[in-house]
Amino acid sequence: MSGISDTERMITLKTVEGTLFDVKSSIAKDIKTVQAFIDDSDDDVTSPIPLPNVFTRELSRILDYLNNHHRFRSDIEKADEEMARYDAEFAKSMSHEELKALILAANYLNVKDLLEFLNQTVADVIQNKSVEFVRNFFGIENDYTPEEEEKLRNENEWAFNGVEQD
Amino acid sequence: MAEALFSYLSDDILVSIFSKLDGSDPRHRAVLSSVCTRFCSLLRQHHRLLLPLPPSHHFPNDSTNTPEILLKLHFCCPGLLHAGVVSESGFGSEDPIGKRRKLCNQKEHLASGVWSLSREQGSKLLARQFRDDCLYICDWPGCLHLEEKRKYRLFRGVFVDFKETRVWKALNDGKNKVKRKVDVGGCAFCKSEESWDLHSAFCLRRVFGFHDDGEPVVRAFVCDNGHVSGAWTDVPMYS
Repeated sequence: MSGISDTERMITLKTVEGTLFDVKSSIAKDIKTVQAFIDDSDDDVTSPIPLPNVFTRELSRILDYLNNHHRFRSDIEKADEEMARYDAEFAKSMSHEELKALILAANYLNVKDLLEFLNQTVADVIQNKSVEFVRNFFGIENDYTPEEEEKLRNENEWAFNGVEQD
Repeated sequence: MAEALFSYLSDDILVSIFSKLDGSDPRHRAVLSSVCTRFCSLLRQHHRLLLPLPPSHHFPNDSTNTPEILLKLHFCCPGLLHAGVVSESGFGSEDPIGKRRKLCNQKEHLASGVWSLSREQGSKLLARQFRDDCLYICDWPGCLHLEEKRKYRLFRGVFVDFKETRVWKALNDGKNKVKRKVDVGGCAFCKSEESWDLHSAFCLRRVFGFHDDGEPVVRAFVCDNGHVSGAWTDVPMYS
């Protein structure tokens, strides 16, 4: 019924550490970087596809995510509900470090839906946090001069002051 | 490793993250623009990001209405000083706590009330001959300030293409030009230092009138760039 059958072609992916993952070609379609590699190859891809920027931990999580989402989509009735529950658990289970590493991997592999979801997770993390928190989270050095910072603080001061009543 | 790489994330990803924050909270933009120069310039390039605005064609992204100014017009109450309710010298003999509160309310602050601008609200202010001018004003009731004497509902707004409006022509009409300029501590939204009193220039509806003590029921001031600050008071029962 669906495109998945016993005879479906398998693709092998190889991480930085050399770990091999066998992936159904229907899953590989969602990994645009891998799919582009397959499309560019003249012959059938039989040897493992090297992923020089992706570590085993991240690839295994990404494949988990994609496999689960494929499974949910095959059951139309429950898809939205189960997917939302799974996504919430997935977001909760990540540390900030894991989240950042996963974004870099999902970006390199060009997995659109996952990247959107991870970006939303970052937005939820930095929502209502201080400038210092956001800098730490992104690993960003403050490149404003003290004068520029003072000016910005004055310009933005209003946003943090509410009207005070007696 | 991830830590080092993360600061080299592509602009696309950062913009995607920014766009997922709640655009109805101006603090997000204020925090992000203070993080680093790259974030600040990204927010400028994608100037509609985190800005809930009326249709863009009304407000070109130019020096009179930068994203920062538009953001402020949307969310920021000009305060009692810029709205012309108090003057800078008007707070000499207050007790310290009252004075601190008053100073805070005098300056610009996050507005209470509804965070949207509408042309309908602007039309309620202007006299008949200026009804073709496009003035956006924050929706009723604006930012409520309970002062000793009476209630003030502070409003903010902006004229579209101010230099093309009839109000601009009326304000710059010959000999009255200098007389109508007033000092309300500069514009709350841009760097303009002087404003015009729209009330004494007869640009507001005449029907509003005055209170017994001579205070106008509605006052409004506009700067060179068309940014408006002002205040409604309750219409007196007897006049």
